Amino acid sequence: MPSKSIFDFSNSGDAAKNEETKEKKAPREKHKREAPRSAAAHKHEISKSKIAQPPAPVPPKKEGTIRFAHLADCHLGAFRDDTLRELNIKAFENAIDKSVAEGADFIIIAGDLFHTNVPDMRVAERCARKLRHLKEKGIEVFVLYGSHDYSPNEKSIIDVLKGAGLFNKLGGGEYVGDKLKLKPSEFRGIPIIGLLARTSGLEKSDYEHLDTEALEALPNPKIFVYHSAIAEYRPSFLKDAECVPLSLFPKGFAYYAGGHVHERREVDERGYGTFVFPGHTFGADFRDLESDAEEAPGFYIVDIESGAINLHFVPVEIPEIMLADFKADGKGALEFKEELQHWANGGNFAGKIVMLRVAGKLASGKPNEVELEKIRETVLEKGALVCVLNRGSLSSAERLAVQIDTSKSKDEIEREIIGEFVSKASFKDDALNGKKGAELAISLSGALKQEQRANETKDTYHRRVFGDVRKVMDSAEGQK
Amino acid sequence: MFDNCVSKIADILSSQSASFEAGAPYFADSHYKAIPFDVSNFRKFAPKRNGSTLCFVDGGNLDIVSAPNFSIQFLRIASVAFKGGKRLPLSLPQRIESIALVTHASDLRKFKVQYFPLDDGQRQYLPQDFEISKSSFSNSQDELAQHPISAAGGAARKFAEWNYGARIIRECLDKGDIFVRDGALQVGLEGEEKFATDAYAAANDKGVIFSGFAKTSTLVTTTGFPLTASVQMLANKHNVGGAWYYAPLAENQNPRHLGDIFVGKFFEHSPYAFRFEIHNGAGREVGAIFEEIADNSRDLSFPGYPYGLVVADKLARVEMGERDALQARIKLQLSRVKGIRECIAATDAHKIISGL
Amino acid sequence: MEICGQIVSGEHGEIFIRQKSGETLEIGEMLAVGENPISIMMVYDLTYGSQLSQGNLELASGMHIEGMGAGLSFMEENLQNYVIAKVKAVAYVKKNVNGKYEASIPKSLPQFFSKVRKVTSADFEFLSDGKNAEHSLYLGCLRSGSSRLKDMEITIDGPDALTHHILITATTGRGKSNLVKAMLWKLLDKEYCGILVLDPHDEYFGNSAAPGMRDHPKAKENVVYYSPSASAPKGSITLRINTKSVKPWHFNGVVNITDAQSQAMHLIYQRYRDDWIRKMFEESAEAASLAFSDERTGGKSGIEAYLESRGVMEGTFAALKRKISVALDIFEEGGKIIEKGVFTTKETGIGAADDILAALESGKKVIIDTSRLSSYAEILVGSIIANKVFEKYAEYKSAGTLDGKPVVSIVLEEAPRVLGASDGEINVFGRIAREGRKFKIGLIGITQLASLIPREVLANMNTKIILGNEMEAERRAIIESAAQDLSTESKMIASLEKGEALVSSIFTKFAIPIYTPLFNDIVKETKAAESKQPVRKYVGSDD
Ligand SMILES: Nc1ncnc2c1ncn2[C@@H]1O[C@H](COP(=O)(O)OP(=O)(O)OP(=O)(O)O)[C@@H](O)[C@H]1O
Ligand SMILES: [Mg+2]
Ligand SMILES: [Mn+2]
Repeated sequence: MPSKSIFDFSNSGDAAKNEETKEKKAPREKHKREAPRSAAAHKHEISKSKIAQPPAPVPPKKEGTIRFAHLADCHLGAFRDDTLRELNIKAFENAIDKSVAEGADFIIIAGDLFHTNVPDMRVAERCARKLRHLKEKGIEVFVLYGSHDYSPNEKSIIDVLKGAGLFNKLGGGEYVGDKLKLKPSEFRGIPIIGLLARTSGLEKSDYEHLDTEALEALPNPKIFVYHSAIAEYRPSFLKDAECVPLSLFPKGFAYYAGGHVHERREVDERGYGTFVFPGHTFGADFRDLESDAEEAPGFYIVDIESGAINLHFVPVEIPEIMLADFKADGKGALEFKEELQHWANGGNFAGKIVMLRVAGKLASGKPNEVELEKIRETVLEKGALVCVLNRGSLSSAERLAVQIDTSKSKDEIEREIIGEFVSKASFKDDALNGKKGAELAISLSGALKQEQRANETKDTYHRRVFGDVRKVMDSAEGQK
Repeated sequence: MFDNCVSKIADILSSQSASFEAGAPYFADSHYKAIPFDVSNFRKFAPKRNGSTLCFVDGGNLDIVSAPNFSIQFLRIASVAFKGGKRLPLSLPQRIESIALVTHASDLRKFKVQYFPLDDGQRQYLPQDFEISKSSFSNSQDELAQHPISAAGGAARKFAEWNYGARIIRECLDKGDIFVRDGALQVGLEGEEKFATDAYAAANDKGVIFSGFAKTSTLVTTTGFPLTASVQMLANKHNVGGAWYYAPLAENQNPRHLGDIFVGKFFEHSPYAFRFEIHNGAGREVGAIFEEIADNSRDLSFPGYPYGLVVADKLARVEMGERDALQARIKLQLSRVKGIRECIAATDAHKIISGL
Repeated sequence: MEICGQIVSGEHGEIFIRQKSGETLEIGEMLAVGENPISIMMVYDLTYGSQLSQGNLELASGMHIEGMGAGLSFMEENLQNYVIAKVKAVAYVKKNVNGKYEASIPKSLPQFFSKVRKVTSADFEFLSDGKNAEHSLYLGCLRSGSSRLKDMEITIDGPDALTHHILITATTGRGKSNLVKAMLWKLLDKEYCGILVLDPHDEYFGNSAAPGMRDHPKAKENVVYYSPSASAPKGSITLRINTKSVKPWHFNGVVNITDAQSQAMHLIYQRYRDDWIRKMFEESAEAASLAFSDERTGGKSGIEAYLESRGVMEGTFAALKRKISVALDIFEEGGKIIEKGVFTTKETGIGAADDILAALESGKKVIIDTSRLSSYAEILVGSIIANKVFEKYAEYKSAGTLDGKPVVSIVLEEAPRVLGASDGEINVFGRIAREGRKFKIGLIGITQLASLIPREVLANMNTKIILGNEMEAERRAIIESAAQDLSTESKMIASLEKGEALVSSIFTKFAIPIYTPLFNDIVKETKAAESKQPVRKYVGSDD
């Protein structure tokens, strides 16, 4: 399994944190319905269709204009749920189709076309098919490695597809001494330069050694493709991500085609040019889907017209996403269950993606007594395409009432408590259930509990802990 | 009023000075035969001989604790030597420090003087304990006249100076070296002559020039004018410039004063001229001796006065501050002596009064 | 042992030493008596001594200069005339049997007539005894007068000193900035503290003309540099602060705001939360762009009407907006919002304040080039970050997790601007000065005019690094609030050369004279010691 996305939705995160993330996100005011979540309303739903004002349609392509599409973060192969995985691919296909329809001369995919370097073959096949379609139409595609589909020691699906001649790979270059010299690709005289991404922001040192002078000497218009967060634009939900400051970018590019940040952004940067992050095409995790509920994801159609850049955002067509929030605070498990059941029974979920989030502390009873699985079944019965449950922040007042035998050692007590909790919970992913789940939790907490060693810098400490955690996760994954 | 009376005084003094030249050196003692002033008696210094050592000796003493029946004195004799303008360390201690105790001798007409050196090793540089007639210190035969018992400390010091000087000449000086003591060569005290004779003998044995430098002189002229001043005024009047010495002043037949008397000006711009005496001066290269002393008298601190004497004086001087410390320590020791308070009380009333 | 003089008299705090001829004692010079124990003394004044009376000396001089002194000289000049040094004992050091040093403030006099020698580095070994090198704060090398004991580095305990605040004072050009540069340089690879530098002269990060923190081998990992300049060197982050990060209380003691304006500000904030500033400008920009007066609001923007409905006087909003506008450099012209400074209502700079906080919290050194900012904006930027740090650390404290966090210190140039006496509210820096140490937050104040800082704050700055200062009043202000009695050191402070300083701290036994080398030399030294860069490979590129 590849590294977890920095955007991954945390199932164990508490409600408050998720709430805050939402609050702090900087959405476009105009595209978003302004409705604060009041505590009085126990539930709250947002449907995409209600809020997203459709952006202006893309004007027809003018004579002498070069038009290209800029996509990023398609994350093909993301989601374990079959339906979501399929919807993700569909969104990609839709984006390609729309690019073709809008008359794009070429397409830039700024990283993370795939969710992993070796995806499910069915997914790879679907993508290859689409790319071949583009090839037949004579539309060139330029692909940059992203943080997900790059692997430092294995080949990636990107190499396979490139080898098949389905697209051009961006990001070529080499170190000459201390300087990184990038090799430009080119489309009808327009230089396209890519700086490839690596896992967890390790490309930053490449930026630091980038021979920007050579790139700045290239004729304009030119395009710089990258897959990194930019420090100055970092949205608050990307708290600990490694960011690259603007000053490390080469100056004077007409267009800076970005990826990696799953949030749409366009900035005209003085001294540089236009920086664009199209955001994801569908998303790779639940947080992405939640943002999709507020604003349709999509990609950019960009016109280069006598040196000037014109941007057109094109939303992709995805099913309506419905967000449902329920607060359990002060309620009994049975009471809460009834409330949910009532909602599920009365809802109209046909053709929708339903995201059900339950949070808060039950006054009595245990979280599993709410029987969320049953509710999900009802939602699906009522026609939902998929029902995504988020119950990590649902807790019980009784939760801490655990009998502790003080004659036992600390480790034994820890094992018992974890075991007890795991036995009470039920996760969709079986690896997290039962004895296996308990073992995983114990090894994980063991790995995370390690302290920094005396002679260790923070960085090596982080890397060590990160490595150990990954080993634990990988072996858990391998047992499946 | 005040100005008026001062002006009268000035008149009298100026009439005196007007007639200085008419006079000649005056000696009350018949052993001296004065020789009238004569401007041709001024002499220039001669080039000095190289390589001789100049040695100066001085002493100091101070009454620390005294009562009519005893006096405890602190005395310090010091020497300093120069050769070629640089200080020359001698093999003898530079300073001799001792307590001298003066008491009434069993013969009540005499004082008894005993030395108690601070460092026993220095006993050898001090004279023997001795007895000395009280009459040496008083001109009166009157029984009730004060017998300044503390004055006997001066004898203790003087004898020690001679004695120490003789040791230095014997042990540290060589032919042609010049020994200078502080003060004239005249001896006054009972028993002093013996020490002087010994010192001269030492000098004669080693070929050392023995001299005395008097920083103050009470000699006057027949017109009552100070001798050194008269010589200077004579020089001024006749435009005798630069450094000079003047002799002869008298024929000296005094058996207790075995030195030839000179007046010398050791630095051209100095306002001072000094009386300087040389034992067996006749036949010596007096000019060279003066030049030697003059060479040592060019220190900015007191031009025209031998630097060696300044140093010897400083080394030997017993400071008042020092006295207080010594006094405290001695009194502490004495406090176990019965009746001592009463003895001291007999003479220290003035202290109390001056402290009021 | 080289003798340079001898104690001849004096009293506690004023010992007289006769200087040996041929030696030259200097003001500020450190002297020692003994081997174990050692009395360490410092010369604070020098006078002539002579065996001759004043009159004699004057006469002697007269003879010389009036031309009557040909051939005259001092026979034994060294003995007669000499120099008397006034010294005070500053430390009494004993090495006990197990090799540990015990240093104390001298309470007795050294042996009378003791021979005195110059100090050596070995005499100061006690300074580094039992110190945690990891937590050290470098200040320079030991200095004795004008001579430098290069191998004796002077450090103090960083966490202690930083949380108890440091004041660096000197008249202009005496090396305050140089000292801070040296200090930061040596702190760069220390994780125990995060440092925020508000840099109004853009002198700390360095550029092609002058070296700075960017030249440190660890710069990439541990230095974060923000500059509003588009031409700032590579690696710098464009300083841009989203107005969402700005809270009403950040203006406290920074901008002079009346009670009524403050009330209005809080009302607006209550209504719009993070968007309060953007709304203030946007709404009125909209109103202006409509170019006609709206009947319902009487030509007022929605906010004004809202405020008036809450009892805020007419005109208050306009005045408030003007002040905020000036402070933030955000203006409104013809219905458009013009952002001239680093504050923006757009979508950038949202994470800046958080990023800076995070960097500080992980022990990094953050330099903010405020050279192009107005003084208001600079202080506001500082205030925003300082508030963030304060809030966060207060949180950690109440959660009991503060122990594991690095100390955070804020470098303030021209400190009286923010620490100076004001009749208004105490700003966040004043709060840090007073209670920051409870939260592991400190200040490094730099100033030419310590006298402008209130006594109470001065007294709270427990380490003072005093460089040359010829202004008597300034020296007095510093000396009065110093951790040691420096009343005799005033003259010495006046005569300090560039880079020379006196460190008076509650964490040192005595006021230690130091010299901080020229920063450029420290850089060169480090560079020389630096190892070769590894060969780089650009992996993932196969063609
Ligand atoms: N330790 C030192 N040794 C030699 N020269 C120094 C030293 N410290 C500073 N200087 C010189 O003095 C100049 C001024 O130093 P610096 O900028 O540090 O002074 P400052 O006290 O910060 O002045 P200001 O009050 O203007 O900020 C520097 O350019 C440097 O060349
Ligand atoms: Mg400065
Ligand atoms: Mn991505």
